[in-house]
Amino acid sequence: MHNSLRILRRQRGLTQAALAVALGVSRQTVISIEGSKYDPGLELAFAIATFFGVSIEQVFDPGE
Amino acid sequence: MRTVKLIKRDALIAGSVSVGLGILFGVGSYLLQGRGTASMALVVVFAAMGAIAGWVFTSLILKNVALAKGGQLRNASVEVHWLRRAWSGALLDLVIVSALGAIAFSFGGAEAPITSVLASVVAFGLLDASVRFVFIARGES
Repeated sequence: MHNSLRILRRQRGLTQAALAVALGVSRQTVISIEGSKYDPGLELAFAIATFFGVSIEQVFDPGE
Repeated sequence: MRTVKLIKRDALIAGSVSVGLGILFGVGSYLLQGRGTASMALVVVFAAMGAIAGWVFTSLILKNVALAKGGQLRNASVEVHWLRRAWSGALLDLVIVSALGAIAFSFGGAEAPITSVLASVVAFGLLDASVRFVFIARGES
């Protein structure tokens, strides 16, 4: 699943480590999501969307 | 500085568990094989299995404990996802190996003490899950 996490994070000037701490997950989790290697569960997806103040659809794109 | 201390402490705990489990597996396999007839190669293999499994799983547990203290989403981390995949794969491997072993023992007419067989199955499962976890983590990092 494609996502715009890296773009959102960079727009806010955050490092992967800082975002991981803010979300309460490991830095590897942020790295994996940004690389589209890991699709987070609903809980984390909502936490990410809430953190950036956007809707889930604006972060995650299921694509075709 | 605090992070460095925490990591050192975690490494010390994981190392201790790894050594402890390695010794336990080694001594256990030695006793199960019978003191006079024990194969030292097998003892070393079992000890290594215990040590690897101890290191991987203790590190993972400590990491999740640290995450649980720092945030609320401890089960959302990708490491937990990797661990579940590793266990699923290891379980399937165990079923296949057990089935093949049962067939081989049945048709081959071989016999082995049940304690040795069970210990081997447990050790294989732990090692399999550990190796799978390491490979998944390396492949997706």
